[in-house]
Amino acid sequence: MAQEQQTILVCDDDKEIVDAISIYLSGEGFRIIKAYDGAEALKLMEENHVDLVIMDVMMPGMDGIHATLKIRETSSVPIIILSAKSEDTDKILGLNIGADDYIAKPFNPLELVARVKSQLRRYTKLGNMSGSQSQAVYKCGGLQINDDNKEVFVDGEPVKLTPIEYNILLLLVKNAGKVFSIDEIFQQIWNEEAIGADNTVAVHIRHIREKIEINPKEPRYLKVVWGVGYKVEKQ
Amino acid sequence: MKKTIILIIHTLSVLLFAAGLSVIYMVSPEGFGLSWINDREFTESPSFAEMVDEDIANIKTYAILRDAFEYDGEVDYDKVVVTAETSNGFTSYTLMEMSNTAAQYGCTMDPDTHRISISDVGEVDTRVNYQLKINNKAYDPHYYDERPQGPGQGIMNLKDLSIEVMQKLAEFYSLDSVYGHDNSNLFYSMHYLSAEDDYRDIYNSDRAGDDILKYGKYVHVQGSGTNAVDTNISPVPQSAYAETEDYSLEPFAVEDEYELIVGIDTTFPYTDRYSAAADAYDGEINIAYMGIVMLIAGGVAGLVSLICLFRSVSYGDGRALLRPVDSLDLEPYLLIILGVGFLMLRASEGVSTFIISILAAPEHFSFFYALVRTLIVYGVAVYVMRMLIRRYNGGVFWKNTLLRRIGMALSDFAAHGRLSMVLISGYLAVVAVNAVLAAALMYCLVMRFESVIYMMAFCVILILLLIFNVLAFRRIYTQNRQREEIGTALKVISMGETEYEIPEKDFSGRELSVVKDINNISQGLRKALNEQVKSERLRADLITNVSHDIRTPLTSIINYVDLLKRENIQNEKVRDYIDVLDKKSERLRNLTEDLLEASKASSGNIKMDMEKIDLVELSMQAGAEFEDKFAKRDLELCLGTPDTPVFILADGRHLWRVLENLYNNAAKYAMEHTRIYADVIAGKDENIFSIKNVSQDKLNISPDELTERFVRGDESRHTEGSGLGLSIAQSLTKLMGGRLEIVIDGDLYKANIHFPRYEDAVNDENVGTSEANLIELISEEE
Repeated sequence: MAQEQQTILVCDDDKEIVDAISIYLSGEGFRIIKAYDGAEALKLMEENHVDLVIMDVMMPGMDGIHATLKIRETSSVPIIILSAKSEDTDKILGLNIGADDYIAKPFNPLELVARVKSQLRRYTKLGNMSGSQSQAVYKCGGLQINDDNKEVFVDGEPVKLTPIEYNILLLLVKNAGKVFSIDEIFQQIWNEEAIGADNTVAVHIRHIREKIEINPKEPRYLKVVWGVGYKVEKQ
Repeated sequence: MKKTIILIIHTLSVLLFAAGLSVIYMVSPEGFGLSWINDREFTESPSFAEMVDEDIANIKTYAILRDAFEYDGEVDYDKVVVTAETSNGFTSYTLMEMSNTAAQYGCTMDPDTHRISISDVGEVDTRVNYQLKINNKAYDPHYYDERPQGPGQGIMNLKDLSIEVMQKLAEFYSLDSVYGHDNSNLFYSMHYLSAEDDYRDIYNSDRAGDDILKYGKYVHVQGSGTNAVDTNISPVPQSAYAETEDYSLEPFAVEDEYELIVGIDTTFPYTDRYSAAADAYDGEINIAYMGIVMLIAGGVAGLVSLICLFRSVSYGDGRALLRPVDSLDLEPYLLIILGVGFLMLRASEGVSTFIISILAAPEHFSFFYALVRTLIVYGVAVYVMRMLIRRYNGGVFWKNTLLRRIGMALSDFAAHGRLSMVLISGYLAVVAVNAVLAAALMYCLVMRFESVIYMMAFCVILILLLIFNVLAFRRIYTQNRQREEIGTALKVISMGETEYEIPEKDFSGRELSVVKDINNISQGLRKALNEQVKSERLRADLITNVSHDIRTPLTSIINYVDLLKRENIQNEKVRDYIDVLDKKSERLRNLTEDLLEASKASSGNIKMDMEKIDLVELSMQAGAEFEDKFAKRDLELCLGTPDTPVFILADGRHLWRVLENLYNNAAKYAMEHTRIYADVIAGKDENIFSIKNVSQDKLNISPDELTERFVRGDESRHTEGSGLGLSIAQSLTKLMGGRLEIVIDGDLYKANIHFPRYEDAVNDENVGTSEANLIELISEEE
């Protein structure tokens, strides 16, 4: 990474927010291009090589949604939408029009950095990791499990899991999309009937989430289906 | 003005018509109508036949009287005219004696004119009271045969007898003046068939019988015995027939058969009654034609002007034509008019008698009375007709009637009167009608053998009775069905279905007004509710927008505070200040988030994805999420859950928010080193999630207050809570069809969430999604 400085376009009509983001990301060694509305962002995109875009939604002139759509016409560069709107519908809209991630304001700067890095890793590293030949590899978005040597990667970064956590995650990833209740997971992993009230499984899963998710409260991979169970989203 | 002219024209036309009618009536012989006008010729007319009839009767009388008083063409005063029986035996009186006697009593005959005059000469003779029993009267040939028998019968005194004789003599003279000469258009010959009676033959011409028959009109009585009458006169003069019952007209005895030939020279060469009558007849025909012309002209003009008169009512704008009297009710006004008409009829009798007696002959009185009455009735009828048309065109024909007023009053009473009174009077009316009909039915039943009409009436009344009762039942049935529907509708509306509208067309009368009221209420309710929902949404929108607007600057604050923290600042004070900024900005962020969520939850502006949720699973998941937080304050979570899943119908993510808030509260406010109990209870009707903890601080606050916004158990506000947690939890629970219950017992704090069992909730789809929850929510918020 050191030899090649990556460029990030930050676009927000609030100059202070752009500056703050610039400070954080510059600290991580990224080159920052600042834009203050959608049109300007598009113009700068044409003039410069950009590795990632952080885009505000509500801006004067061309807004973030239109700008994202425009960018997607020509480029597959990762786009993180940054918005004061935190409704589910806003997030869904943002992700549907081609954004790769959605961060609601006010955001935790560290989370932003983590997400930026995650997106960049997926975009740059995972692309050439796909050639890796192994039968026992399960992939789910940026989550990758290599069952041969019991390794777990999130966006290319290795994650350390305990054996039970690994087994639970493997079960869920193998059956991506299926919802497992606590009892079912217990039976599959421990191979015995669940006895009485015990939230061991739930605690394990929370630990897994804390390890593989950037924001455990808004998990991207291991999702809580409240009152029903847990699942890994099929991606 | 125009109307007045039309009215005058009409009046004149009607009068013309009446005049024509009167003229025709006056000149027409009674009993033949107008047909006589067709006859044209007087000799064909009934009046001609009547004259001939009269003449034949006169001829017969003349024959008798001539036989009685005349001999050889002269009046013979020596002739015996009366024989009578006195106490002295039979006496006979000659004409001379009778004439003298009559003269004694003041009855004399003028020698030239042969008219008798009677003057009162008083008692001149004691013989005045001399009673005679008459045996025979020469001038009355049938007297002897028919004289009254028995004592005291057929008795006359001399005075009366002599006067009677003189009167007969006078009659003879008068008949002789007509029938004794041949200067007449009437020719006759009365010839007795037996030779010995030849002296009785009479005739006024030397013409032979056959010659007489050659005249234009004739009557030939071939023999009084056979009653064979040959004539070309129509109708046949009845006097030509010899009376078989009443001989009074027949000369002498029935056996004395005669041949009577009467002929009328229809050329009328002589001036006499016939020629005069013929002339008069032509005049009358002309008058009658004039009368017909008047009749037709009057009739046509009257009809036309009548139509104009009726049409003139509707000239111009309908309402403007109305007169003040038209505002009166029709029925009483008609009564008044009829009364006035009746009075006019009565009054006309007196007035018209006076006028008619001047103008017309007595035999025409009745006609003119009838005419006047008819005219009065006609006038009243036209007036009434005009009034009716006027009212009709003015659109007040039904409006201004007593019937309608009564009907209106009744329906008004039925619709607005006190219900009990309406019911009682309605019931009484039904009973009364039934009683009357039943009584009529019984009467007809009893009388059924009297006449077929009663049988028919029986059937009709029976049918009426049935129809009436079926109608009455139907009314009662409809009313009660409508009331039932109203009850159902009220129930539905009270359950919160404010969209429910009772279809007004199915209702009538009192029920209709009730339905209208109910619809008004539900409409008002709906409107109020909509307003409230709208204002709630507006408020929520406002809060949402404000939250969004706060977020952008807040982002900068948080970011730059974070950047400040990263600066290597040596100054202890500054580091403390930055710490405060950090905490407060974080709190501000939480507040904004919670505020947004609370406003959305309380306004119901949240989409619920209701699904089957296992409370046991959820409580375990939630517990796992809070493990760390609890551990931080050395709190132990004790999960009490059944082995089997406990299902409810809810939105998993929102229910998690509820539980998150409750666990959060426990984590924040529970006393350190204590246990927190989270239980799931599968109840009979409800499934309950319950969380209990011992509060760190004194809970001197009511459970209700706790769920209010911005209220926190600790007044010190030293923690980062927004005070909205329980409020959000409560709103969300309610939106999902559940109920949040807070119990405080000393320092024991307990929060229960009650949800209906999954099966019940699925059956009752209203729960969770319906407006009803929202209504409840909003109404509690207020």
